[in-house]
Amino acid sequence: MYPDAETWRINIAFLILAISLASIFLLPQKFKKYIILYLLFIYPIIALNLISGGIFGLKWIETGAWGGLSLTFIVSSFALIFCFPIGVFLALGRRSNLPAVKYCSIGFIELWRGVPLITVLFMSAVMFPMFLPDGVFMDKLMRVIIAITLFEAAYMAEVIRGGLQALPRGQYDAAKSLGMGYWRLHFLVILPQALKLVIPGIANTFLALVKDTPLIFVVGLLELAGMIGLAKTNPKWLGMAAEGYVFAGLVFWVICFSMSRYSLSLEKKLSTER
Amino acid sequence: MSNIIELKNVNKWFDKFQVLKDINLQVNQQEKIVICGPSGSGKSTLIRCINRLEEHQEGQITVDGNEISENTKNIENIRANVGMVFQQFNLFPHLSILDNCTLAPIWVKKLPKKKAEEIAMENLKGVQIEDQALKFPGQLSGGQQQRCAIARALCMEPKIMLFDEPTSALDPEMIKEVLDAMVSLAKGGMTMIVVTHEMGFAKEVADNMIFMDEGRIVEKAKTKDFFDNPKSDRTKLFLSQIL
Repeated sequence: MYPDAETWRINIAFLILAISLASIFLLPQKFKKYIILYLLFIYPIIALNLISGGIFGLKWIETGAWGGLSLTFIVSSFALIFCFPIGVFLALGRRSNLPAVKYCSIGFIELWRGVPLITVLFMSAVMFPMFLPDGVFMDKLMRVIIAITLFEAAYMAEVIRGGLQALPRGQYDAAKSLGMGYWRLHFLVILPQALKLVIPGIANTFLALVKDTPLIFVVGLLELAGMIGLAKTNPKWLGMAAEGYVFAGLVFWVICFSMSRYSLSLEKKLSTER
Repeated sequence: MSNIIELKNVNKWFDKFQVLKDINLQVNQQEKIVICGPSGSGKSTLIRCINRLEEHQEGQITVDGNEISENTKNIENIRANVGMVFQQFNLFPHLSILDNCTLAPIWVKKLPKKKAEEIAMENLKGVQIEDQALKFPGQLSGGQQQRCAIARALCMEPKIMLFDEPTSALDPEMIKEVLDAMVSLAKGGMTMIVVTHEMGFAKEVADNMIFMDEGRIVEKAKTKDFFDNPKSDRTKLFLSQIL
């Protein structure tokens, strides 16, 4: 368990997050780009160092002790950020003309789509360390995040492939006839259109990912819902399980609903139909 | 005058079906060629082979001194010099008209954005849609979209322009505006290969006419001879139906 005396560190991490998010809307448009870059690359480093400690005289707290809503956020945001680009490359790989790339992508996607998340989590937490050579150590939380990321990336790849299939051949012809090679053709012409088409599908996968995070309880990590499972056994909270779970459900609903609204507004913003 | 495009004994199959049979063709710089023929005769496939949107299996295709084959390493460089206009316009719907025109110059030719926009506005002016530059393709009429597609191809400053039935998907009253744009392009000295059924345009612009049927070039002649006394019976039949 995260020590009570140190929870202020998590609160501050949340506070910085809230302020950064608010500043996207409050500061002028031209800063938006930089704030988003900061949120993607710098904020995670600050937050992780703040929560784990070990520097600036902060007490080191190992990831096994992390829990609650902050863990929900950490696991889902890392998995969201990484599963998207991996999914894009898998989708492209599956349509590639190079047999090695193509069959590796198909194999990867079908493997991860074919197994339940719960077994993937077990493997990552229990089996995987046994295969590591002596002296090599990988943090459990990191292993779990990688497992979830790869699992969701397989689904993401198929969603994105759906969008790629939907584009008419003429778009490829036009881009090629202007002298674009494979990467320019895909990143300038094909993907912007395909990804726009599958925003609802991508949102679906993202929501599923957030709601899959409670499963990490099977490897002993307790995020929001898991924490309530633990709290209900505390004598102080006996008989209050229902309240706890309803609250957890509400928090998940708020997170998922805001993501779904955001995806809708993105669809509207990117629409170029008349 | 030198040959900018040369096809020698080109054969092409789709699986077992032979779409191009022993095609021989030379195109001079600044020459305008119109290809006509019934549907399924291989005219579109022929011009798509010239920038390798389709692969030929036998024979030689040379464009601007470079032979085009599966070993061609810099096919992108060759394509950048060969503009193409499609029946279905194929504008990029997620980009504005101006961005459609600047995308390839910026990313393929590496022009600075400002320079690319200057060229784009010039070409859009040339096809008289400069006032639509900030709209999206979905907001334009078919004729305007096709003129934008012509401008987009011209922004790469190609040496050759290929037209694949550019007016076949248009309403009759929009055909003229597109043909006008093509006529003024021809007068500017562009090398053009045009697949079309617009015989009025052909008579006005073409130096040479080609009639294709069942994958073969049945007849190639000076435009005047082609219309006044076609040699093969198949051409006569086709012209009697179309004129």
